[in-house]
Amino acid sequence: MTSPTDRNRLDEFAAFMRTYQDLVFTTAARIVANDAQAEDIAQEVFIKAYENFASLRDSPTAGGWLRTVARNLSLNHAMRYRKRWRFFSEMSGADEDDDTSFEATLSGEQSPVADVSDVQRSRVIEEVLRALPDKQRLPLVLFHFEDMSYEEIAQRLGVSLAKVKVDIHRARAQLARSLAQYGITPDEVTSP
Amino acid sequence: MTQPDPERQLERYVDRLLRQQPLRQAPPDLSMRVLSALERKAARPWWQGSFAEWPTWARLVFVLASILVGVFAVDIASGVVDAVDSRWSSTWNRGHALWLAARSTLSAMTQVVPGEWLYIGVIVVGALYAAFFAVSAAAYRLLVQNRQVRT
Repeated sequence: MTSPTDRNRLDEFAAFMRTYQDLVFTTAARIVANDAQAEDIAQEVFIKAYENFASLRDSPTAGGWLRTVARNLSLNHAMRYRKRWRFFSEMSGADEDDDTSFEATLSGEQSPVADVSDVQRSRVIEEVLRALPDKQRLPLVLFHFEDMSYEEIAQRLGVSLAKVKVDIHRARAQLARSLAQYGITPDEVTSP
Repeated sequence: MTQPDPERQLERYVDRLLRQQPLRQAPPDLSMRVLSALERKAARPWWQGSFAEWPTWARLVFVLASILVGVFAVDIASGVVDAVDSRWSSTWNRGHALWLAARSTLSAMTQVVPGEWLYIGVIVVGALYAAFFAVSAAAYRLLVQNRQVRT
């Protein structure tokens, strides 16, 4: 049974969690590309956060701390999983697709299948991102969402710098190609 | 006029696109799951937690007990080493005899069983191994990769 003090602390923690749960879940989901696993990782992150709640409660860097822990746990998970299945994954060769140039997308060769609303657009982008092969999605997410440099990504994923650059380039090209099929093209995306 | 670098353009486009993405909504039961896990954890007896969470007295007792066990282990080990030393030669002889027996059994088999049967046996085992491997790869693609794309 929990004491009133513990209950109070848990209530405070619940409010803290509500503030950051989307951030933590999104970070994990984009790296592992699996909602169930992302939820498990988010749970683990918040359990760690509870152990450090005294210092995190009023800290302005709590979001950064949570994001870093979520990223590290997700990467550990993704790398463990990748090592286990690397051989089978590489047998499929699914991620060795052709590298159609971005200029084709720019020139609008791929006609839009349908226009999408702003709300749907975010969902489409998440889905297309998730459908990328692991070895392309991981470096892409780390570069664009987690602000990691090519060198840091290479070190973290244990691959060469050249491979990181090639994989990110392929991921971007594939992403642009897939999005063009939904009518999301460079012209349609405006600067914030 | 110089043409813009397509690779740089692509990078800028994707960067803009991804940075505009809003955060995804966490599952509604996430906070409940975390709170239940924390309550379960708090209700656990101390010895089921990690060593760092043990009370100080328990940690001290554990460390002292470990030192005592270590001292006894070293004492006992020295006696065992002496005993093993004297028996090592007989163990070696036994191992050597086993190796000789295995070798003679194998050579007897090659004389009794026709060579073709042995080759067929090796081919069958190889084919079974390859089939097992193919089934595992197919199962992985079917059950794991497809599920990941769907979820």
